[in-house]
Parts: sequence; C-alpha cells; structure tokens
Amino acid sequence: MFSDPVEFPDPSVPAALQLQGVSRNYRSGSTTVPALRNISLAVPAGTFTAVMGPSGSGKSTLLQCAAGLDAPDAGRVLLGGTEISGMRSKELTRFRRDHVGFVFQSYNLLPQLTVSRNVTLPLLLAGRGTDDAWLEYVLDAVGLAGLGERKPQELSGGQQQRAAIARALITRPAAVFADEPTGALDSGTARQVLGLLRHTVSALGQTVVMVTHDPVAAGHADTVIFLADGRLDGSMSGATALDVSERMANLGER
Amino acid sequence: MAVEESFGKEPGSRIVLSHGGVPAEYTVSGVVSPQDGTQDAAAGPAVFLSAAGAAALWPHGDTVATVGVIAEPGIRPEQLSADIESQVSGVVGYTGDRRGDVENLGGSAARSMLLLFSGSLAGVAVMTAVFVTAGTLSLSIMGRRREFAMLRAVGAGANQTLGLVVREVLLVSGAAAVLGAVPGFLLAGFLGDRFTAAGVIPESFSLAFSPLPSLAAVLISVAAAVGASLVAARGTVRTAPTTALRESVTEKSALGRGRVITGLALLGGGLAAALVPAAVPGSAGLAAAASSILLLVIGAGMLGPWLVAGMLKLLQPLVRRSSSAPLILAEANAWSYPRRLAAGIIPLALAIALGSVQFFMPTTVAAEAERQSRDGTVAGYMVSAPGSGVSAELADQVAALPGVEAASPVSRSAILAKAAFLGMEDGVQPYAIQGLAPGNLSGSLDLKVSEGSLDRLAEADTVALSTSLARETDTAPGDDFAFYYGDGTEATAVVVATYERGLGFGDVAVDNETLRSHTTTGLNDYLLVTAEPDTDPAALTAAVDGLGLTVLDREELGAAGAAERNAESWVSILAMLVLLGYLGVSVVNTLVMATARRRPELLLLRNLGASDAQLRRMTRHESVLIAAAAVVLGTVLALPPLMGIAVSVSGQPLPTIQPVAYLLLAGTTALLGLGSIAVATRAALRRRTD
Repeated sequence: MFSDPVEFPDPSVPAALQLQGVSRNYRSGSTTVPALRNISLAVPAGTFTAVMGPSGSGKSTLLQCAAGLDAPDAGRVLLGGTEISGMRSKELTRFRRDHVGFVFQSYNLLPQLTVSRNVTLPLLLAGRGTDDAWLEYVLDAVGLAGLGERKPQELSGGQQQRAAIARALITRPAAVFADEPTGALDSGTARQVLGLLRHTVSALGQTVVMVTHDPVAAGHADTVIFLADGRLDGSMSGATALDVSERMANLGER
Repeated sequence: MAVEESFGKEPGSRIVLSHGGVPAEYTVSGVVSPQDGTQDAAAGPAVFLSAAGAAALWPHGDTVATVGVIAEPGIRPEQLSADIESQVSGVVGYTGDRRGDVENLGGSAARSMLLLFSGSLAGVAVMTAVFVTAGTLSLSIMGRRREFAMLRAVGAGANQTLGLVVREVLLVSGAAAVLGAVPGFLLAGFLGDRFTAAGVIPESFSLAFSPLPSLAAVLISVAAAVGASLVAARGTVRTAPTTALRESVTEKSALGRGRVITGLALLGGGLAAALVPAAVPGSAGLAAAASSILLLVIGAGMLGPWLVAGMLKLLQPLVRRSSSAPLILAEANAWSYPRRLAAGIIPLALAIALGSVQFFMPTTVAAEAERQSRDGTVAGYMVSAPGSGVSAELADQVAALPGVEAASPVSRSAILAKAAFLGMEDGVQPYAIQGLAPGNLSGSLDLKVSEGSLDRLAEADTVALSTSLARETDTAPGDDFAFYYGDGTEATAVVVATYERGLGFGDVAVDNETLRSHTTTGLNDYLLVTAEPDTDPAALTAAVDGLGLTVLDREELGAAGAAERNAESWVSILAMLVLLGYLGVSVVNTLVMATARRRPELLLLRNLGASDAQLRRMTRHESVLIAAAAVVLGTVLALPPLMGIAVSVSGQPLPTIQPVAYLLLAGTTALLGLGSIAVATRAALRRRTD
C-alpha cells in the first residue's frame, strides 16, 4: 500500500484518530485524581490538530492515551481504524513502532547515532529495510538534505527537531503526535518547525496532532481543541493566534 | 613415658615407637589430656619422656636445646633474662609471650608469614580500591557534569566544586570504611581458622585483635577514596562552565596528553620489568617480573578508552554488514561511550591479570622445581622411613644389602642467610639446604654443577650454592658464605661449587654429617640408592621393607620446599579469592550503576518501538564485548610477567598455566560482567515511572 514514497495514509479512512469516552485517573496515595474525564473526539485524516489547555488540564495525558503510550482506564482509542485500547504491551509496542510517529519537546535523538540512523531507527527496530530514496525524500522535505551523516549534537536545535520530525514520518504512520515540539526553540526557529509540520499535512497528506500551550503554535493548526480540568472545552477551526489567545483567556468560564 | 589420651593407652601398657626407623618399646606411665587450643595437630599427638629417655634419642651429645628458668619470687623476668644473656655466652633469653616461639617453632614462622601475607594483601587491596573507586567515581562524576557546570555557572569556583566532591566522598567513604571494619574482624577470625585448618599456622597460634589495624584501614581506605576522587573529578570540574553545558552528550576517546604519556610510560616500564629476569638472575629478577603486572595494569587502566577504541576498530568489519538492530545500537553505543565501556572492562581485566599471575607464578615455579628434581635424581631408588627419618646406622645397613651399589644419604633443612635485593640489604631470608654425602654422588644425584666440584664438600667448612643464590649474594667459588643453621648456629664456609638445579634441590648444599649435627633429629630424610646391574627390583624392595623402610616413587618425593610452596600458594590463592570477591562486588556495582543510568535511553528506544527483548539483546551484546575485551586484555597483560617469571626460574619463556584454573578465572570474571549487566537491564526496564 505504501509503494509510492509520496503517497500517504489511505484517504478513504475518514478519521485517523478516534477517542470514545476515554477516562484516565492517576492515583496519588489514597486519593484519585482524574486527568481525563469521558473524552470523545475524532481527528480527520490529513489534518493538523492542536490540543490546548493550561498546565494540568490533561492535554499531555490525552496525547499519551491517543498515541498508545498510556492506557486509558475507560473508553476506546482507535488509531487508523485499529483499536489500540486493550492491546497488550508487546502488541502495542509493535503497533506504535509501525503506525505512530512521535515528536518530543526535547528532540530525543540518540547522540550515538548519525542523523540518518536516528531517522531510520524505527525501521531498523522493525527489522524492515530502509528505502534510500524515501529517506532522502524525507530528509529533503524537512530541510536536512546532506546532513544525514552528522551526529545530532552537531546540529542546531531547530535542525535536531527537524530530524525528529523526519524520524516520525519515516514509517508513514497513521498519525504523528507532537508534544510541545517548539517548547525549546526560539520564535524564529519555532515558526520554521511549525511550517514544516503544516507542510507535512498539506503536501504529504499526513495527520498531525500537536499538544501546545503556545497560542502562536496553535494558530498554525486547522483545528484547535481546548481542554480544561480533563474535559473537552470546545474547539475552533481556522483560528489565528489572536483568536486562540482570547479563547484561552476565557477557558473554563462557560 | 606419658602419652596423650588420643593414643588410647592405659598406664602400665606397652607401646612401640620408632625413631629414625629404629623401633623401641616403652611403658606408658601416665596419660595427659591437652588443653583446648594448645595442641598442634600438624605435629601430631605428643609423648613425654624422662630426661634420660629423651637424651638417649638426642643426637647432639650432652647439649640441650632449651633450658627452662624459674625465677625466685620478686625477680623481674626481663631483668633476669638480660643478666643471664650477659653472663652466659652464646645463649638467648625469651620471656613472656616470646617463650612460645622457643617451645613451638611454628609460632614465629606463622607470625612472619601472617605479617608478610597481610602486608602484600593490603598493598594489592589498596591499589584495587583506588582503581575501582576511581572508575566508579569518574562514572558518577561524568553523570553529574551538568550539575557541576550549573554550579560553576552560578559562580562556584573550580576548587569549591572540587571541595564539594571531596566532602561527599569523605562522608560516604568514611561511613563505608567504618561499616567495613566490623566484618573485617569476623573475616580475620575466619581466615585464621582456614589457615589453621590448612596447616599454614599452628593450632596453638592465637590471633591478636586490636582496634589499631581497623583504624589504620579506615584511614587508608578514606585516603584512597579521596585520592581517587581527586583524580577522577579534577578534569571534569575544571572544564569551563559554558563548555561543559554545551559539550556533547557522548564521550570522546581522546585522552589528555599527560594521561597518554603516563599510561604509555607505565606500560613500557611494565614490559621492561617483565624482561628483567633475562638480565638479572635470582629472586631480584623474579620479583621484578612478578610486580611488573601492577605497572601494566595501571598503565592499561589509564589508556582504557584508547584500548577500547582500538579493539572496536578490529571488530568493526564483523559488525558492519549486520542488519540486526541490537547489534548496530550496541556498536554505536560502544563507539560513543568508550569511557563507560572502559570503566566496565578495566576492573574485570584487572581481576583476570592479577589472578593469572597469582595463580600461575607458583605453578610455573613448582613445575620447574619438579622438572629439576626429576632430571637431577639419577639414582634408581629412594628409600625413606615412614613418618620419620633414616638414621646413619640404618643407612649403612641399606648400603650393605645385597645388590645395592651405593646408598647416598640426603638430609634436608633450612638455613637463614643475608640476601641483597636489588643491591639493598633485605634482612635474612630462609633458604632450603640439603646435606649430601660427597663421596659417591655421581651415580645418584646430578645437581648440574657449573663451577667447582661437589667432592670438595668433604672438606671442613665448605658449602655449595645454587647459581641463582651465588649471583644474588654476589659470591663465587673461593669466596666465604655466612649463614645461620636452623638451630641458630652461625657459620661461615668457603664456597666450593655452584650448581644450577637450586629450585629442585634447595639453594645450599653442605656435607651430610655437618647438616645433621645442626638438625633436631639428626636423621636423614631419605637415601638415594643405586642398584648393581642385574639386580631384581622386587627383591631389593623386599629387602628394604625388611629393615622397616619404604622404597619411594620418585614422583612421591617432590622437590625441595614443595610443602612450603604448597602452603604459600594456598595462602596466595585464598588472598586472591578475597581480592576477587572484592573486585566482583565493585565491578557489579560499577556495571549496575552504569546500566541503571541508561534508563532514559532505554525508555526512549522503547517509545520508538524497541521491544524489551531487543533492548536486552542490545545490552547483552555490549556486555559480551565488555567481557571478551576484559578476558583478552587481562590475558595479554598477564603474559609478559608470567613469561618473565618463567625465564627467571627455567630460562625458557614458557609459564606453566593450568587450563582449568585459567578457564575458571576468566569464566567467573566474564560471567560477573554478563550477569550484572543483564540483571541491571532487566531492573531498569521493569521499573515504571509513569
């Protein structure tokens, strides 16, 4: 199905990500703190979605449950049409490796591997061969053409995040999850990285879900979902950074 | 006579005891029961004779060995002893605890053995402690580099930061050393028991416990830890804060110039020391070769990351073509963290190198001694008396047996002589001596005389020396050689011959009768018997049996000093086990620490889709690399000293290595490395923080 390097997830799948009544509680001592309360949402394939909310609103937990890094206490999670809630740990690891891309705030590249090896690591772990043309295409798409043999620490912060995005794209995943991808970058570099994420959606048809607390970052997304106290608190489409800021200021007052 | 109750005799019953192969019947007059801890199992049960009965067996005329003195009330023993010494010439007084040395000759030997043993063990232990602590600390300090950089960035001086490290180390090592002192006492008691059981120290020898050694041990350990921390932390702490914060997260294999030069110099020095026996004969050369291992190991430790990088270059072609994710990751890790790898390899290699030298030096010496003794014993038969010696009369009777061409008596003992070590006076050293009948040696014993003639031993005040002892003491035929017999008699004799088979037959040879006059029993240890041609061996053996003697296998006899060597090598093996145990604990500690610190890396890989099995395989590849490198490095480091030792004892660079002992040593060490990394990896993967 992925024979052509430029072809992305099957557009006939209407929702790349679906959450149905997802709840997640954390226990600290004898008290139970709910992080997510009965969340239901659907993210259409080939869109750029931002999840926003103040600290402690549950947005990182939402991302982790959606990406299969954490298991919800109740509810279902469907990724690319496959239910991942209830998968066993081993199965889930394999699914994540093959169908989920991650971009973290702290890049999380392995310093001992070259940029190319870092990017193709998920394929290596899956025991799949690397398609050199596809690797070159991805590196070129993220603006790292010719830097594949460098070590990550020889790159700037923005370049390292681009390498992390390339790694997230290399498996042609059902969705790319980004957790504060611009949190460690200056505003100029952050804009370039957000532009790159936007580009992967519009030009490559990739689905991107990004958690951020930065209205400027959220302003690049097609849809912004708001979270407060572990509950969905509405969404906006085609919003500007200013719209998002205003909405954030009034969050939870409805 | 009075006998110990272990004989199971009643007063009035008769008992036959033989001395020098001559049996005699005695009447038991009383039964004694020894107090606990005063009997000496190695010496066997005791019998007590009247003065007249004992004098009948005493071979040295109307002399006595010891005179017991009972002082009048109110006289201080020390004063009395000094008075006696000043007024009676040629006697030595012993008072208080020292009286035990006279009563039981094993006591003083055991004391000096224990002092030597603990001295050498302490030296090696402190060196190992410095080594291992430095390795572990540099690992932990490297992990805290950012913390130090932050401290430096907010204004802490390099010395303040160093002070912080030193104070932490003082606190931790102080507490640890004090805690370690308690089991130290228990271990001392345990080792004492084991030594006694092995016959290395007599049963009546009691250990003196005092808080002072523990205090010294605590101070030395803390000093060693602080010294090691200074070495490990200096470079890291001195790095400019901005560099430290910016510096890459991987490590470089490039080492400081000073470290490279020192390391190479130590390796070179170690190799040179291992070669010393080729130029310097005797124990000086042997000691130089044996201690060269320390220089080699320290040098290798300093160049660790370098050596790791070199070995990786050799392995690279093997890994290149692999498409296995764990293997590729393990190789990348090894390249990127040569110091972490070296911190695991070096202590393991240290264990193998030190262990090999410690185990195979005695085997090499023993093998050569046995070879010399076998080649040098030309006589067809050896005759000894079971459980005791052969008297001169019996020797004559054996010589008179039909078919016996000659019976040459040999007695063995030890002397003390002044030895110079590398030109320095090193006090007196014990040497094995044998008393030979010089007349008819050619057919029974070949000592491989290099200068002079053993025949001249028949002349009064003459001695023959092994070539190694001659060179060690700088004497040649014609020179005087001064020494003390085992009974304390001072003697000076002219050297009339030098011979090469000193290791197999002892370093000194004198006339048989002369030596026997200075031993307690005055008996021969065995006779070398040459048979006339066409003699029936069975008939000869039967005839010898008829005299109450036994014909010995040549192999049974063993070379001179074999018993001492056995005890010594047993002690050094025990010391080595203690040391290896300590090394094991520290290596496991280092490896577990290094692996646990990699938890973030392991979790990241897991998030990227690595299965736990893949991660375990990755660290297993790394641990195999560590263990294999340690075995190779440890073996390579041990070879020059062992070859030097072999050259020193036999002239050939071929050490005697017992494959089983080597495999056990290398295998145990490798398993320690593999096991601790595997366990630590499992633990790091099992613990869930989220």
